[in-house]
Amino acid sequence: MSHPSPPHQPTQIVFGMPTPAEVVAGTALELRSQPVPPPGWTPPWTREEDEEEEEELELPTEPMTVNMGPSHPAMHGTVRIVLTVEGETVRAADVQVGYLHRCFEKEAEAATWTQIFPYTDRLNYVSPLLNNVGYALAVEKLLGITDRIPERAQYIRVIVGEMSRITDHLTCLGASAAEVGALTVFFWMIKAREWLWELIEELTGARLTNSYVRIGGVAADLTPDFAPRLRDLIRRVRQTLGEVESLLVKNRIFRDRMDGVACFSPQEAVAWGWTGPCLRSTGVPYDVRKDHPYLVYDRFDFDVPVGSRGDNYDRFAVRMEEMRQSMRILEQAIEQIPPGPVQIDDPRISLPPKREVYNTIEGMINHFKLIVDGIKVPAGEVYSYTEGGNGELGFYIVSDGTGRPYKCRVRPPSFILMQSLHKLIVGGGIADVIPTFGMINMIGGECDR
Amino acid sequence: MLEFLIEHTWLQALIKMALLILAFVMPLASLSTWAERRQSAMMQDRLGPNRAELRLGSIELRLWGILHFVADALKMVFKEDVVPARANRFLFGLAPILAIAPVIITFAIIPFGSDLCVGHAFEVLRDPASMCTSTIPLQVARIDQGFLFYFALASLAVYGTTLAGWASYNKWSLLGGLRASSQMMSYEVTMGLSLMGAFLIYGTLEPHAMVLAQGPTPSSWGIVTQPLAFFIFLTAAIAETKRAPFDLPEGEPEIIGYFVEYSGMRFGIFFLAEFVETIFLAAVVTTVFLGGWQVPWLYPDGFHLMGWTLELPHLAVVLIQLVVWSLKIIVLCWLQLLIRWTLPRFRPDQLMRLGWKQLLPASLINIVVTAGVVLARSGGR
Amino acid sequence: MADDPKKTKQPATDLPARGSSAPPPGVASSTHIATRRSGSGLPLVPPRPATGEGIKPSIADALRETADAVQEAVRELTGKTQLAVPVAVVQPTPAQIRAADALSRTLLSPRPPSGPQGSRGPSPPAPAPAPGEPAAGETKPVDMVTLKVDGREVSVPRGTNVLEACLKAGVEVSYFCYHPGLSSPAVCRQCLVEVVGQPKLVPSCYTPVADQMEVLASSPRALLARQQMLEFTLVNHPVDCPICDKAGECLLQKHYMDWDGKDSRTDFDKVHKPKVVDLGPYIVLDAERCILCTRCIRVCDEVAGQHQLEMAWRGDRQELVVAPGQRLDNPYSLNTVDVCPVGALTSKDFRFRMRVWELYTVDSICPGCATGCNIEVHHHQGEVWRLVPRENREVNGYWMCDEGRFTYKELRRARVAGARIGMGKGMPGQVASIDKAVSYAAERLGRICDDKGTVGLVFGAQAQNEALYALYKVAELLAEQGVPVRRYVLGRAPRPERQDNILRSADVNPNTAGAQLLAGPGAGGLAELRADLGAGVLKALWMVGEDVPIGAEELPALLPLLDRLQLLIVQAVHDTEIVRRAQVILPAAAWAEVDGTFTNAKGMVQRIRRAVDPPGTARPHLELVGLMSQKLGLARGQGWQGSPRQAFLHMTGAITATLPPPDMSGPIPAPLRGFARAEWGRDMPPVQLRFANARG
Repeated sequence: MSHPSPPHQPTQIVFGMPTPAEVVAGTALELRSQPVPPPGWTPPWTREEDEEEEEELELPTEPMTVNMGPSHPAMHGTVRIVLTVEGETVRAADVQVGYLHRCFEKEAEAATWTQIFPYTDRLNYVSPLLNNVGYALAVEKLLGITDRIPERAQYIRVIVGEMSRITDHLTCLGASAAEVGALTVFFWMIKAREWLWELIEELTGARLTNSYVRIGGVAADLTPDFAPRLRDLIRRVRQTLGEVESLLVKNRIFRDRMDGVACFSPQEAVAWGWTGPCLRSTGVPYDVRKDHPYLVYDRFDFDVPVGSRGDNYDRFAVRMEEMRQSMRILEQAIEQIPPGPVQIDDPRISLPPKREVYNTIEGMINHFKLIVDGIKVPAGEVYSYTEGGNGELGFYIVSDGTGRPYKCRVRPPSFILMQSLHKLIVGGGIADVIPTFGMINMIGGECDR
Repeated sequence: MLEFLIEHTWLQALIKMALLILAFVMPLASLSTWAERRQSAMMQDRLGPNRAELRLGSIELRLWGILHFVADALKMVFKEDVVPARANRFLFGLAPILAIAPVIITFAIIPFGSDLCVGHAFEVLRDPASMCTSTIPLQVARIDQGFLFYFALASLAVYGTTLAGWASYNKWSLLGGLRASSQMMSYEVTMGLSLMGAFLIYGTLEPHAMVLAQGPTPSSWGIVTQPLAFFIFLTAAIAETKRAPFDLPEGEPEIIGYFVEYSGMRFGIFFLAEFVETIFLAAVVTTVFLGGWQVPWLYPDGFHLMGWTLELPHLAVVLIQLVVWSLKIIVLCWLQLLIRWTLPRFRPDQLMRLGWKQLLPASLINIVVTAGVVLARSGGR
Repeated sequence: MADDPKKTKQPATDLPARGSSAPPPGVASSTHIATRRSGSGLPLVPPRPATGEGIKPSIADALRETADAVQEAVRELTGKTQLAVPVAVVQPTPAQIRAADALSRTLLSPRPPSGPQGSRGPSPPAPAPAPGEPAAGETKPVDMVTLKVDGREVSVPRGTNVLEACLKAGVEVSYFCYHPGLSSPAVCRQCLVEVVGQPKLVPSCYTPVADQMEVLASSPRALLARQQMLEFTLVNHPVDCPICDKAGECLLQKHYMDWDGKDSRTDFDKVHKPKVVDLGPYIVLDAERCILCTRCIRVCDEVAGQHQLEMAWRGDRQELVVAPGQRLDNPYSLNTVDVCPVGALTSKDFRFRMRVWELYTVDSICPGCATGCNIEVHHHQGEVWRLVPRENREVNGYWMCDEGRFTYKELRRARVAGARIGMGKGMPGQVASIDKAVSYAAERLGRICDDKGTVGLVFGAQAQNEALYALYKVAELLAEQGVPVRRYVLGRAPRPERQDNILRSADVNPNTAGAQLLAGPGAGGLAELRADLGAGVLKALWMVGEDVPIGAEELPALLPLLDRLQLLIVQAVHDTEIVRRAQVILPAAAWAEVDGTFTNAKGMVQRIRRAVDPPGTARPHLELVGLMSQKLGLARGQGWQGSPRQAFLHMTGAITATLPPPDMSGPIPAPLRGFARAEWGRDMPPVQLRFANARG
């Protein structure tokens, strides 16, 4: 199967808004002036049939508007795409998000800095610990204690974060496979995810809504047999990934469905603000962990996989490889992790031990004020960004000096990615919408907040 | 009594049809709903449904959850039957019937055992041609058109899905119906052409005659003489059943399917029709490529293998043939489950390309080659 | 009627005669405090003239003078000019404005810090302007001194203490016993700072500033000393936070978190003292929690002028007790709870009922009397839980009276929650929707207007200015149509026994001045209303507010008169006998449920803010008047009726001066301040107390 268009050229078909890249290059108007669709254009997936179906194409057809979602099996109940289709070809798409809007940013303004952790769990709910870490780093940056976080806590954050990244990718790829009909792959990946979550549950007390990270450290130290269990887990996950690859990577049906579908050029991706695996699939090797190392990421040896065509298969493959790289990081981290405390030693940030709380007025006041009034974060504003499951997860927080944020804005990677979804799906078939949407990996909780 | 039956073939046919459908096809279809779940569960490291049980006093019949299909059926029957507000009620109701009826009817041409010689049940049948004066064919309708009848009826089945998609007054189901009609019509061509080679070899369209033509020697079965046709037909027939990887008309995460608006037993009938089609597909493949009810080296008088002989009475031979026929079908059903839970779904363009550009030319080549070989072997007659 | 005798009534004889030269009963306490002070190594000072006592005669004089001046001016104005209906524009003379300003400043400026007099520089002139405020150059030039606090230069008036100078320079210093509204005894030692040139650390709240003084408020030595003082204080403090009502707004907690944060170093038993001591009708003491700052003693002495609390025992056994033969029952007693830095004194009304950090705060004005004390309404989930005073040096300083604090209970008592249409005459009437009731009322009123029957309009002194302004517009438009209109100002009956020249006014209506202004000079009071009713002049009466200035015993005489009306419309907050006489009852929102303004007895227009939702279908007076005027066809160009802010802006544009002081108000006359100088103020989003950053 040949690719309908070289991946690095902007697609000819113009629907919806001009891209920033087009605006910058001054080509937006020119492109827009083309008739829609341009004469002689056929959807990529029917190109090879052009000669045979020419007569059929001349039959008068009428575009149909269908509502994909929010009540649609592939739309997670959280997004709606109004598709204008001609037969199976998508002619126009209107992507509408917001069905899972939970007022995260407004709720955060009424909660103490620490109380926001449970809300961050519900942002990208398949990798809650990455959100926890991202948020904690933002608050710590504003507090100016980034350098004072105990090393062990930093390693633990890396470990749980990378475990979450694996669960995130497993969920994304598994769900996408399920949506193209490979339900078995989905269950295998979910099985692997469940192993990871069992270990995370043992550590944090919850599978999904962990709220494990704290400002100034983490809530608790690793469990005694965490390291051997993690090593065993990595071995088993590797094996599962191999099995999955054997089912998908050489599967003609799967490859045909993913290869060359929904190509995006690196220029476009950068112009649209893509980050994360989707950006790397286009060949841009940007990874916050490498380019702006935080925590102790600069101490690990890992690679940033990139794609070459920016199509659905590249997004799939980049995620597969990232899981392997995450496991490399995990193996190194579990070797390097030093002993020590997991919470910063500062009574204005971390809670006193319970013995002090119940027996001394000092401990009681300390605990009381931290719980009720919250940690007092100095007035100011800060933007902190980490590599989340889907890309750069940013927190822009403003403090007025009280125990709660004046503003807590999230830069959710999938929201940014969703902006350009219509560019990816227009021109394809209805059946292509599903894997493309799956590979964008829009997480409603994060996108809609 | 027996004479009466032999004389009145219509009554005979009715009884055989009832036996075949009620005693074999329907239970097997129901069981395969359970089997599908357990099969997929095993493949996916899950348990699958294993809880349904029957409690009679202190006796608990769990049976690995087989009773789930009973629970399913009860649920389907008692669910609310919703008809969308602006749907065409008549066609909406007709569609499930149109979906299941052709499949069940076509079972009439499937031979499920050799002819039963009346009066010689417990004898070894050394010379069937002379001994069997009056027989009861284990086939509902032995008609010369045979497979043409099947093709004719199978093309009716497309109406069920298309009408369901159209009558539901839902754009998604309409898309599903359109996908179904294009898919089924495309693959019917391939399906018919792929069998053409077999027809040439067997020199008949009548299934019973085809089974007889293959004989009890596996080397002369269709799968050996027509291996390419076997794979082409299996692929096309699975596409015809609209099951994964060809479940585009359903395409659950994409377009939700032509029966999106159906609920209760109406949906149940579509569901069942799918499984009946699976069984029917297995029956056809068995008949054409796996020697039908033929058991390797089992002749009417018993087993003959490399000079070694085991004589068996006629009834025993027929029973063994019945059982083996059933086993062949069950194995083929299982094979379909395996495929269904392994492969991802096609995309419509891939499906069309596969059908028209790969399977169709291949089946044409198959016909040409087979015709040439047949012509050559027959000495140009 | 709405007085609340069982809670707040106090025999008038208990009140010391203000301005009298009789020695206050607080002398004993002064010596007591002085004794403690001598123990702390500071020079013993003679019993200072209790600041409140020293100033109050002059307040009374000023009051009397200003009142006379204003009344004189008013007599002149009213006598000479026939005021046009409805509002006359009166330009106050500069002299009058100065007099009014002087009055308010004299009355409400904070007490001067009374340092050891003569020890450093001349004694401060009293009253000194508040720290941090620009000097009011109008009356006297202020002697400014410049000093350095942690290297920052700051200029403050001479006589300011070092603590205030530090705070003004933006340098935080912890303190317990200092309070800007009280004298400074320097008993807590929590505000120790280093002064260059002095061998020992000095208590900053007790040290007056000197020129070129160099203060090191954050030097390690000062910080260590303050930490150690805090540790001393914490040694015997019980581990009570989870059950303490002050938790969340506790100064001890705040200082520990801000300044100390160290672990405990003690492992011996804490000293035990009485836990639940009944000090008075409203207050309970937990002596263990007390940190002996004496703020409460000073509140009683200096604000209420009654010596009811004092210290007993000494060392770590020292504890707060009521003075011999006394109870803590002065009308300002609950201010002791506010000033208590810890949870030692708790209000019986509030304790154990609501956690303070859950409360949301909204700035408002006390509706209890014409003084218009500035308050914060603390509410949670649609219920008001307490009112606390808010600093406003021009009105109430830092204080409010106990009776005012309990006005929130009115919000839950006998409310009219839905409209009713009925026969009146005491019959209950039928429940109706507001639209229906308004339509009915407007239709009947319209018919009476068409017949040119006399319509009476009651400007309730409990209603907000904006609603009354809308009613004023109705009066104007009706008068234009030739309908005879009579206006009355009614409110709750004055209670002269409340009058104490501190904060409590005899007029228990928050907006008498505003109602009087908006009703116009021709407006009558209850006497006129009674006469008009008796004469049968009035055909219809429309009351905005249901209160009438008579007691329950006189009410039966009024009711039959009301029955003579063809139509009585009442916009009622509370269900009363009067309300039950009405043909149409419209449910009105109370003061805490609306945005608006009140004009206090001094003519200051102050903003009230919506804290909670009104019950049932009750709506603000303004909205009800707006609906009525719409139905009456008088709403052309009256779009401002839609929002209180618009109404206010319209009103300030239209009415630029006040009118003569109302007869009903207390002896404090209204200074001449028009709406033109009033501002609507910013809207406040509800802030939870734990995030308010101002408390504990």
